[in-house]
Amino acid sequence: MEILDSFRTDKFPHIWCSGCGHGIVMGALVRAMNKLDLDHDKTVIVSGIGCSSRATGYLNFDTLHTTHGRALAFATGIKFSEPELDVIVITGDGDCTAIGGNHLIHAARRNINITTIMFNNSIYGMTSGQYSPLTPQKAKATTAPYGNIEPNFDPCELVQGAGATYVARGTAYHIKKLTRFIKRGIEHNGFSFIDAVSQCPTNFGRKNGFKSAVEMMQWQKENTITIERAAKASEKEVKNKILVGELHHNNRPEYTANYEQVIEKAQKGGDN
Amino acid sequence: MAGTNKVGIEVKRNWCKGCGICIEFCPKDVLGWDEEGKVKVVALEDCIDCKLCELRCPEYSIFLLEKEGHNG
Amino acid sequence: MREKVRIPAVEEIETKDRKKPSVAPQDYEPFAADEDLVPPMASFGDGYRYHVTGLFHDETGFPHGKAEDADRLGRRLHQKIEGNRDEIVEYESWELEDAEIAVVAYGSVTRSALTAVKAAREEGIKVGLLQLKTIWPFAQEEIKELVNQVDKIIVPELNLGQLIGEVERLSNLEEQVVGINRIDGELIKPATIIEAIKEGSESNGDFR
Ligand code: SF4
Ligand code: SF4
Ligand code: SF4
Repeated sequence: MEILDSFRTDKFPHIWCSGCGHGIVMGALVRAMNKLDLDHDKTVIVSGIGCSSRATGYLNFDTLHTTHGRALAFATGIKFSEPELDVIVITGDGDCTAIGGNHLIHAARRNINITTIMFNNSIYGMTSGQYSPLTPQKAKATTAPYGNIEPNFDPCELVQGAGATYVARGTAYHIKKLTRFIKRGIEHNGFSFIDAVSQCPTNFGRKNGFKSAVEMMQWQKENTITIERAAKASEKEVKNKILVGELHHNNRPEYTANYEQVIEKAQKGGDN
Repeated sequence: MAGTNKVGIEVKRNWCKGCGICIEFCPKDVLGWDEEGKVKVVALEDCIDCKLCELRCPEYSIFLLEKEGHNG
Repeated sequence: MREKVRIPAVEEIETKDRKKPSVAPQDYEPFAADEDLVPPMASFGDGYRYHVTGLFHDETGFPHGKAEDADRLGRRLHQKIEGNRDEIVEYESWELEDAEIAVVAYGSVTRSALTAVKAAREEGIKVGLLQLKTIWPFAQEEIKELVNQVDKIIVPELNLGQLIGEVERLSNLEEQVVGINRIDGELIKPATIIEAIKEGSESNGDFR
């Protein structure tokens, strides 16, 4: 029950619907932080807007619940002014890839040492189920009653292309893996992105033929494949499956460290 | 794999929302529903202490207790 | 067009640090304001572990969805602004002491207005300029004074009339306030303003 120390338990039960995957992902985050023994007074958690972003209200840290899509912009400011703080961003798929898409691209490009956990339920849950950029094509949403005509995209490929140096995907079902990836993401010095596939039984599930949260997690189990397995599997086996695992990991100079060097140079005076 | 009756399970009933995740994914059918639609322990003796129920509970309302003699 | 920006030396810049809390973290209410309506604020990392949200919240910082919390917070923030009006309102004035005509400008039109006022002064016309640098709280007192002092106020704007409404609201003389408006993507030229200063007639003609 150690994890309860990391929560503001006087605010429980939380607002999320019964079976919502966000509670599971938030649990994974707290367990990952506990494994790393992070100093609770030196860890800041920042979120945007949406169901996922209400998480900051329950976490017993310095927490900042910002405006729609802007969690990474605020987090960049915090990390920039106090680089010794551990900064973690909680965002949803709508928040992160639609209105916050450019912040995401440029945080990745800068390789700023922030860990972003995207609670990905493929829908705007809080506002009752409008399709997001990650809603699968053909899925139903309040704004797509005949099925979504827009193709979704892979946010992990996007951030990798933009320059993120740690990229992983887990699911609420694959809870141990998810916890491990979040832990590695926090440990990593650079921009880390964890796509945490979650479920919204209320506003995605009901419209798309899922009778319960349990069925949605069963779906996560059946429609994913680990990158280790995928490497050996046939093309047919991998087709249409969601890859779970550490998708990308490398090292390059980190943004705030680069900036420190500029400060040093400027303070010495002389040529720039 | 034999269960161990040395473990205990604590349920925080006021937080449980009865989603059934712990019940359906328990590999040993240790958990079931009570009359109010919340979780209840039905076969503690079969529990293998895998903690998956605890890890997957979205409400942090089910916990495996430390083995006897540690903190009860 | 290029201009230089001068950044003052560090010593010249006054730093005002936000008030920090003096209570222990467990007693801290991050949005409980002192008498000056400003709550002391801990920095992240100081060990206070508090929550900041864009939602309406109470003194603890947490949202409860209560109308009275929203009302209380909104009113405090409003009063904090209104109560510090004199510190917030910024303006600059030129040659207003003995002016009988005034130009009120906000933003880039100030450049043309200043050139126009200087040129008109050289011709002996008693005209001055009030440049507003803030728009809310509105420079109500300053405009009221002007309304009582001058015969005519010219408000040049690169739109079809926004600031002029605020000025007219404070004027009680008919046709005391005159607008110059331009929305064709070009700037209002000093000559246009000079013309308005001289004529005093409504200037909605073609000033190109
Ligand atoms: S609407 Fe969906 S995402 Fe939001 S709390 Fe409910 S289940 Fe979770
Ligand atoms: S610990 Fe494992 S076996 Fe025991 S109740 Fe939980 S899920 Fe079932
Ligand atoms: S997973 Fe948690 S909330 Fe859901 S039924 Fe089990 S104890 Fe209750």
